[in-house]
Amino acid sequence: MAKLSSQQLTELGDNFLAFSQSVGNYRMENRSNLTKTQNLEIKNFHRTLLNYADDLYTTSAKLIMDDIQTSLETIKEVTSKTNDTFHKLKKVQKVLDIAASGVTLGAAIFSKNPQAISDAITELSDNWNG
Amino acid sequence: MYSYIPFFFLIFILGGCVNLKKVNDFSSNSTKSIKNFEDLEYSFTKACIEKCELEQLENNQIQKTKCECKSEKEADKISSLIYKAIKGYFEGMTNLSENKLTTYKFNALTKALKEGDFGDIQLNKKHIDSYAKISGILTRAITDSYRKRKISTYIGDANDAIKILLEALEFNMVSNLSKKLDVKKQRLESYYFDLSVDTTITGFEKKKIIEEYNTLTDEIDTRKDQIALYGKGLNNIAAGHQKLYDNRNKLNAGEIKEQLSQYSSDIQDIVDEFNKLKKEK
Repeated sequence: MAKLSSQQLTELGDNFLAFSQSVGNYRMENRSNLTKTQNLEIKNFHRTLLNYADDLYTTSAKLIMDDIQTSLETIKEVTSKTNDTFHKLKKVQKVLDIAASGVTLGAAIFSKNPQAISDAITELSDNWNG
Repeated sequence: MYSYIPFFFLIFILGGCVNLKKVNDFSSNSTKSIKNFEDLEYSFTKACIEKCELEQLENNQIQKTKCECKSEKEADKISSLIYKAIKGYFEGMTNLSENKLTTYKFNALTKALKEGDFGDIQLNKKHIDSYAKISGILTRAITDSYRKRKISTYIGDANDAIKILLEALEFNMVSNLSKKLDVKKQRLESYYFDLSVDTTITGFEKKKIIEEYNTLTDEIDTRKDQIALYGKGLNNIAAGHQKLYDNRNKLNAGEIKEQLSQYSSDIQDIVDEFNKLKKEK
């Protein structure tokens, strides 16, 4: 027998749910005409039908995995590329800050001021590692 | 003649410059709507536990036994997997289309050039400011063009897959999880009906029982409404993404901006409505 799809399982669940509703209504509407045993039997029957519907919905939700495996992989891949591009663009600011530190260091060397050179190297190193 | 070249170059680049605000609005509203998954307060596992507890109550079982919900846990795991993939994609799109991303600061460079002692080289402070401004505009224009190209590519690559995932999550929530609430409603109806016709129960107790039943069914209706709204949001996101895909090569066109605004505002309305239901609970 061919395997049922998640959509077909849900449809089956819907049918069981509708069937159980009819059984439940029958029991409530005819309560006074039913013997204790009959009432209990119909109640159990109703419960079993509801359990079938319940299980079919759960199984359908699990089976959907078969339909989405490839899509999940595609989206994961695109998301990873999106995040890479985002981080690349964020890095541009870092490059600008490093360039500014480079200019400061150049100016400090021109000024021949050892303290300014030392400060500029620290700044460059901070921006590089930051 | 030659002095006009940079001007034309600038116009050309700025012409390609993207205003991705509408894409960003759509993505961030979609993310907000998708994240309502975490506020649904209902799951396959919860449905299983509630069913099991009601059975124990019906059987007059004083000592609670552990409910076996292995299959439902698995169903939740799959829904959560789909949810996380969709959320990750839209968060990534939101970050990438954010205008602040390419608003680079040239202050540090300008300051270094202005304050630096470059020996014999004399730098005009006014020129430094102007160059910094132009550099900012050009950098932004170039990086925005790059972003637009990348976003168009990603939308193209993701469209079919994201629609399948959105549809699958909608199916699991609306066609499966929500229906489990209908099952629960029938179980409660059956249980409370027996109590209501029980001749050993007093009239006062029966009133209490009816009140309890009504509270529980109201709660079910609110949960169903929440799930339905969530599903509606997912459908809107899928339609909006399709519109993005159809127009991915003309993201700047007025028409697409208008249509995206409509989707964003519809999705925002759904988020607001969902939050209202959350407060009512």
